[in-house]
Amino acid sequence: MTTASKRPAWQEPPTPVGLAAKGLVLTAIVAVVTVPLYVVVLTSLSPAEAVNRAGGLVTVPDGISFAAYQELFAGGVVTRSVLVSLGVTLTGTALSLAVTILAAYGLSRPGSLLHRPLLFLILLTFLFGPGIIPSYLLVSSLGLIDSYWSLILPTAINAFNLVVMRAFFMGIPGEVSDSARIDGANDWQILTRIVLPMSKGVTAVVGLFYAVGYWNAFFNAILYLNDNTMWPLQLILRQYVQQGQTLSVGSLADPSQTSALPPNLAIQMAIVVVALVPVVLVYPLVQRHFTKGVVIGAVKG
Amino acid sequence: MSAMPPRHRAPSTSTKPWATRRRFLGVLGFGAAAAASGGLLSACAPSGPRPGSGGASAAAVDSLDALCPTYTPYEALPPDIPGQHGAPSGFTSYPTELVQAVAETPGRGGHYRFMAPLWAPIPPGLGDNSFYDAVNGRLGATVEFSFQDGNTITDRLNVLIASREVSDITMVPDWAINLIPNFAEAAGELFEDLTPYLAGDEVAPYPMLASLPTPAWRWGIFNQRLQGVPWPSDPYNEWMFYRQDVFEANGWPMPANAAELMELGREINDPDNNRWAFGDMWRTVRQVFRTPRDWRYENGELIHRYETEELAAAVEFMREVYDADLIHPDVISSRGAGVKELFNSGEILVYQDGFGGWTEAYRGVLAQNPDFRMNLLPAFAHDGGTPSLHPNDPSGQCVLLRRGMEPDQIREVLGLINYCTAPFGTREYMMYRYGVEGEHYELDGNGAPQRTELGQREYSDGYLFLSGRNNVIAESEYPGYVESYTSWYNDAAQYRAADPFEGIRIQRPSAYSAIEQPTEDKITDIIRGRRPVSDITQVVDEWRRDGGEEAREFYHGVLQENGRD
Amino acid sequence: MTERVAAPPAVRADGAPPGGRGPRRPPPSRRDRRRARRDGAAPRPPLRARLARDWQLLLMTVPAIGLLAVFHYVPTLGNVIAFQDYSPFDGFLGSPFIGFDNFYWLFTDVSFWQAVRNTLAITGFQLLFFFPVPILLAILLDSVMSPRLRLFVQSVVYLPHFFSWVLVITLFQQILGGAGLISQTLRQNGYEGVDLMTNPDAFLLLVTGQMIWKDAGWGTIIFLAALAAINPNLYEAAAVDGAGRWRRIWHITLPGLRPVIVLLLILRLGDALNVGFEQFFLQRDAVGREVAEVLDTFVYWRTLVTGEWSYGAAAGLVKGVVGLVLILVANKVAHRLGEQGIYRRS
Repeated sequence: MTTASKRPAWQEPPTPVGLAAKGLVLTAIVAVVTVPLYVVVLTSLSPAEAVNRAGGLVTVPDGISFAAYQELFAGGVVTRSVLVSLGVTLTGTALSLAVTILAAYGLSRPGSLLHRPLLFLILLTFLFGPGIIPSYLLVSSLGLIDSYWSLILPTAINAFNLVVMRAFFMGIPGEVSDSARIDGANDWQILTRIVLPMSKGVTAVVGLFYAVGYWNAFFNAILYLNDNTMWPLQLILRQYVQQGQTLSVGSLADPSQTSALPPNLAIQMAIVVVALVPVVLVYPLVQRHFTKGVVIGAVKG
Repeated sequence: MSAMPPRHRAPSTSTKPWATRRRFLGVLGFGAAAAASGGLLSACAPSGPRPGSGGASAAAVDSLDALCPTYTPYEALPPDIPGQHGAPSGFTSYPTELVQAVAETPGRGGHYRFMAPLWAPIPPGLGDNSFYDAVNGRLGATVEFSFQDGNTITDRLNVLIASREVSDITMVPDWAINLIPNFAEAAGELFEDLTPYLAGDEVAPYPMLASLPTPAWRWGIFNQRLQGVPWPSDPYNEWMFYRQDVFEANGWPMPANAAELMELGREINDPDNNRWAFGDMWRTVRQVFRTPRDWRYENGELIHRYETEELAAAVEFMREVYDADLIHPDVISSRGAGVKELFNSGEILVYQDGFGGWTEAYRGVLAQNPDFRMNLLPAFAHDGGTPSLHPNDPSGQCVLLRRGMEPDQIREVLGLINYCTAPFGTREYMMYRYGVEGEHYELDGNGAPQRTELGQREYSDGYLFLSGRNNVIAESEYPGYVESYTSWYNDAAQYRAADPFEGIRIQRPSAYSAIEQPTEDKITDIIRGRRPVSDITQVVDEWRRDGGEEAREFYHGVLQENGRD
Repeated sequence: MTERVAAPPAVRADGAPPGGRGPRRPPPSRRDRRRARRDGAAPRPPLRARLARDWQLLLMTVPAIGLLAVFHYVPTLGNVIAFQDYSPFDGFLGSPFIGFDNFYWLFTDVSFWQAVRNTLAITGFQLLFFFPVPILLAILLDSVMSPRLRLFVQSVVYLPHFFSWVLVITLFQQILGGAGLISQTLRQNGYEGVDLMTNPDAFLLLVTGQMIWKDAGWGTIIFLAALAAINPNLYEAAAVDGAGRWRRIWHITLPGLRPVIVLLLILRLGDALNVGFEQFFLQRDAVGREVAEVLDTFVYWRTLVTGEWSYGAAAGLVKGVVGLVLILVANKVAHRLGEQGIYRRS
């Protein structure tokens, strides 16, 4: 098992030109992303007058203020919704991952009974989606309105994730499971003892995709939750962005009579940052499984 | 006016329009793709009208008055600047003595769930919210809010109508009603008929509701039943704002006609210093050129705004504005541009906005930039003659009660709504808008209520949306605001454009809405220089051909039904 | 859309090393197999035996199929409204059936075909200029030796995926817009400003650029996982055989990625008529409908604005059918080329 931390012995030392070119490209890529990111973070930390002076995003530091974050977290509504989102994301990801792994493995053996029609059925869900009204009628008839399960079950299986995970399982050499079977292992044992340990990378990736899906989702909550105290983070945050949009939406009576706070760019950017934080924290955990050679090399090699 | 009989699925406009359309399809074909599939298509050509062509409008508008509550004005305080020609009244200071408008506790301990859209952060819910507790305590009943994402409210409403699951009380913004197929029919089945409780003198127990004007009430009638409690609209929605402080510093004049507006734009535009003359202004420019809002009725003929010379002139004007680069590029390149921020920072000097943008900007900007001032350009017309501004529909929203509630419950809820209808100057108003003094708000040096930190955290517009009220201009804490706004309104309110359909609620057949967007797109192309100005004739011809004539026929029928032809 | 992803079959199922080292047998065509069955050369085991062998596998698919059946297939039946003049109030049972009328109106609408053309143009452009970027980026990242540096770069490049389109477009305006950095610099130096965001001719470039900025980093994730799955011994063996850096990329890395590239390509084709909504909704007026109207915005204007649910459902079905055809064709082509595609022949 090689680790990526050191250059393997067989690999030639990098040429200075190559190294410089690579450094340059990487720096450019990182800059193209970090500069806007910096602008976003800076704006979120700027006092209102700085945003007013800039007429939009703040690019040059012009005072620092945590007011946007204080406003977001005052009252405990955002904090509460973070807990909701975490709960839904963790539960949902665990469920989705488990069901996806099972199905992906179940459909991964060449020539197994019914695997093609089943796969085709699953692929169809990738192409044809239900409308919101029938979905609502279904969720409602199952008694899941105002239940957290309504945020999880309707989107628990993603055909794309399933198909790709299956493809990865199929990449595992057949001899490995064949020999296990000859030793008397059943499919459950082959999955848990052989296939899964060899598939940490894809499990991490699919898990990440599911988690991000749950974390970013808000439309199910719009449809299925009447109770505002159950709203997930993304939906709560959307409400901040909508401030001052009364007018663009239509003529809702006289909005001068309503009390929306002015659209505050600092808060909008703070929202971007708040929604990013967990993503930033989680990624290194996923990335660990990409380390070269750990995944299949160990077995294949 | 208004009221919609059930929206028939069968075309009420006869099948002739369809025939026209189909003939047209046969003659012209539709480009290569359509031509290729032509055989197939004609084989399965529909035998009926285009879905969404059906629709029907109100019967005789005047017959609706019997369903409306008897109008009994209520004035808590005499206004400092009375509104003229229907303009809202102004108060140049906050009252020191508040009037009690509702003597008794309206509620009897009931618990009601109220669904409303909200365009603001969600405050802590019932149980964690002392503002709610205080107002509910005063109401003598519990209103539990179920707020909905304001931008997706139509999805939500459609879903609820499909599933017949509505809250005890529901607020529907007026613009959303037109986006819900069969709303009138649905309203009859899902929501309570309030006629027995409110029509004529039945409204007596609810004096605040009786003080809402009759045209607004008519807007709450569906299928000859009074169903929705309205929020009366002011005469207009939006107009052009300018940066008064910058204008005064530079001594720039107010434009009195279109040429002067153009001249002004060229003078104040200064891209080198990151300053542009205009934000978006198309809808107001249309009014400057006296384009009708939708239709004009002239010599027995309905003329759509697209067909008017005025529109062509407005398009030409806008094209000139774009050609001269007088509009801020961000506004051009994205629908999501922060126009308000650009205006507040001075990168845009003139833009169109709803009137609510005024206090909104003052609330956000004055603290950091005390010299910031904005104002409305005086109403004017392109030739310097009498201006013509597009009037609002009479009500901005409907509050509806779930069908099947007990009469006692209905009376209780109407009592709550009555409370939340109390106007500026009453204790009730201060309660549902601000909460308890010393706790949720404090009075500043001007006597203006300022929310405390607790108030900011816990307040929502929920009770405000529970009902409507006669609007006033009262934010006297902002320098010059009440004076400027009322004087603009008292002038502009005289110039309401005539609308042949005024007061008639028409659920427009969706097929006619569908041809509007492509036409607007083509006009946008002309305005922004992607098509020659001369194309406007062709655009209008296409509009007529693709359903405009049918729409005319439909609307003509509406006029006839209402005896206005 | 980019949330979909997953991992690569880095090694072929037959155990052959990636890149076709070793003899590659073309898979038998369907006709071959039929003939084989008829001749009794490769008889399938009887159903009962297969069931006895595979029942555990079938059982494992039950939770997924069950969830999909309840939460996907059942409500998907609601697409029947494409054949109705549907109103939510009248419901599925109460709305009249009108056969294929909605499709007729769709197919005879010039705007629809314009939207299809634009959508396909954008998809094609993306396949050419967006699709390869995450692959190249992943290879580049994979070549970074320092784990810390690699983690840092990886963690940074995928963040823009989490920015909303409004924000992405605003950021682009700050640079490319008529009031942006480039224009202001030009003006301050006495030149005319340029607005790169309202030029219809550059729109394809602009939206692809935005897409690359937003999602290329995110797209690397799956390829990184695929790269990690390539057997390092292959590199070593190649190096020992004297293959240089570039030749190793050509002969080992790219072939190792090929199965996942092909798979993602096929799935992307199935999505050919989906290019996203918001990005185009926001910038539509800037460049005009002629170039910026895509299917999703077309459907939006025709349904949300007018309440024509049936019309939207019909458009959705058309998208799905086109996607299905493209997937099946692409899968077939992949098989012909000896790739695994979405599913292998059994």
